[in-house]
Amino acid sequence: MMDEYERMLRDGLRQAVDRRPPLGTIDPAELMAPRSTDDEPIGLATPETPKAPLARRHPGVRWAIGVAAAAAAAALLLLVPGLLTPKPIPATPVATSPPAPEPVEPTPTIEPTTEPEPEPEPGVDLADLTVSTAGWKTFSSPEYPITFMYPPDWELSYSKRTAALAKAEQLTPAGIVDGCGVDGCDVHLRPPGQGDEGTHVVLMRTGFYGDGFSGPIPGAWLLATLPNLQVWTSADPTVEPVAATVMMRSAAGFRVGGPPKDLGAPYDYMLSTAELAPAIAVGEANPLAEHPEASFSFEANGGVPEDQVNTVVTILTSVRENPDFNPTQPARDKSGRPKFWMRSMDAAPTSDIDSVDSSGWETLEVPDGNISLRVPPKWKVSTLADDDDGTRSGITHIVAPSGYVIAVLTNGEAEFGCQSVTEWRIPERLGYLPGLTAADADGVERTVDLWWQDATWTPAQVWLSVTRPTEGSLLCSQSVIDYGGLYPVYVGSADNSKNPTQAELVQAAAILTSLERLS
Amino acid sequence: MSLGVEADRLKGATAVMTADDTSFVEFVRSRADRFLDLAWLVTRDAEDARDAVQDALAGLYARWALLPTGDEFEAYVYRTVVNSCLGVIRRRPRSLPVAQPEGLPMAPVGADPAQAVAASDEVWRLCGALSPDQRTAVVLRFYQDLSFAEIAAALGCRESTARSHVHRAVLALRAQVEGQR
Repeated sequence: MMDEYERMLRDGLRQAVDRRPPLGTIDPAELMAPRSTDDEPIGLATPETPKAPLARRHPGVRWAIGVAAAAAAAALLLLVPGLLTPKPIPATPVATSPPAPEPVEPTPTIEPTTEPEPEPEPGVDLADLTVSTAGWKTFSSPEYPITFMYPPDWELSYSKRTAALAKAEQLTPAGIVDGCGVDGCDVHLRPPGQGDEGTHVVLMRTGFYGDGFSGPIPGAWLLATLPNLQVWTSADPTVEPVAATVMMRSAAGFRVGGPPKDLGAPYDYMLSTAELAPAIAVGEANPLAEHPEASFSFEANGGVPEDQVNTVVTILTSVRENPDFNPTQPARDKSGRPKFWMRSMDAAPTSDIDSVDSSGWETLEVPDGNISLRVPPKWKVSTLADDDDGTRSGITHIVAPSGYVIAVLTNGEAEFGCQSVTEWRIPERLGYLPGLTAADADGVERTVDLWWQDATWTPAQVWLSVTRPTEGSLLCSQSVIDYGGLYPVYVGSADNSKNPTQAELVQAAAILTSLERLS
Repeated sequence: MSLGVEADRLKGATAVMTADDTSFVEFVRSRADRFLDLAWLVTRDAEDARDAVQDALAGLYARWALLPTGDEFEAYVYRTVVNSCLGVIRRRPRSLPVAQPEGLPMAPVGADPAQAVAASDEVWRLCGALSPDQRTAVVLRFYQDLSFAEIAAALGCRESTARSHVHRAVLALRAQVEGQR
């Protein structure tokens, strides 16, 4: 079982740390010594040379870099004949397109100062932008939705997957194809002579049932627009296509004000959109509604050395839609379900909940969350201990005889999460808990609803959440709920446990519906 | 000098330390060991681990007053430490093989010492075979107990990339173990 191996990883890493050689301690004085000021003798080693004050951000820096970058990109695009068919790709002048990072927090970093501006960062030196694509290779595989060009001496490789791994993943009838399986695939591109430690340009495609790409993208700067590459960012039919862009971001920066120089070179470069869509697909029509596997990312990862910036940007701007995209389909069982999925439940639990005999169930109180739950006698309750450093775990598991887990978590944030109702795998709302309401993250009092979702590669799940009315195509719910305790609480299935029996699924739903406030 | 002693010495100087300095010292005191563990697991080399953490913390100190707060602070800190670790790995001579951990297969751990050592070795070998990014994701997930969103922020990748790294590592471990049965 997967959780057995996860446990092995967890234990193995802890044992490795237990046995690591002594690394000594980090002396804060050593770290602070280089920083000296005229008026802050902090009792540490006195620096012999005057130190620079803490870097202050000049608000014009990012603009300067953005303008220079756009100019550089424009020069690049005009200088690379291989990219100009059928016509040149104009770079978007950044002077008329604001840079895309998140708004900078009002910290001292954005205060104008009289300090000189930092030198422009890598990737913006016009003199260097003379990359020719003559003799370059073109990558094209039916497993990937785009093609791109790359220098002949760069190494292109797929994910390293052994035959055993292929078998374990139960991939496609054809096994591993060009690094692809059901859960996605990737192509790695490296400069000559470099292994894993070298520059990575990674094309990563979403899997057939994948979650798509999510999560925040750190602040980035618009470098160039590729107007002839139509990009889709959502399966939502109301979302219009946009142009692809090449974006540039600090490998160290993370939505922090301050000059890019201070946030640390090198930079990463990515194919995206001006709005920094976390996922993109290309094509005349939107392929995402029926084919989540058309979604991909294409980006340098881990920082591009200065001498490789121009080549990387050229690679990114060489992207075209792959008209031959036709990925190998996953193996399925006789019922048409993917082979590696867990068994489907016979039915949603809702109609059976009332028939559950709860006599003999014990009460579990979770004072931190100000709630109680009723637990069947054969289910076991365990609470994870706090960390050694005193960090509270906030995790209680209610474990069914089969190993199915209902988690009670008081370590999460009470906030809404949204998904498009056109996305694949929309869960089903079964009803609400009578007489129970809770204030959502916006302060609105709402009913507490019971949701469920059948098994896929994760077990069948039930959970409680409060839900906003659907707005357009967005469904927003909040599963960490404030019941008036010290912490808000998530009550629902853990996504990494065993699949329940049908009876356990019904019991799990009944456990959730037994929730009451303690006070 | 132990960190505790140093902290005491610094505490005596708080009258002339800035609030930022004080909070930085406290931060280092409370978090450095954990970062060393993380760096050790990612770089797999004692000196590299120490260098990486030193560099990362020095960099953080230089920007201390400018850093964001809350979750973004945590994300930034992890990002800095991880970048420092990966930077150390990148700067290594390319021919450098993945070294056996110093002292790893020595003292037995757990109720069944032989089994514990074998499992631990298995994990260590597996992690050595992963790419630095994958290894970092695994360490952040299973040692630092970060969420996938937090791992993605630390690695500067998308959440699905982080999931993919971890998922494949677990599958690889399973394939490795089952292949030996």
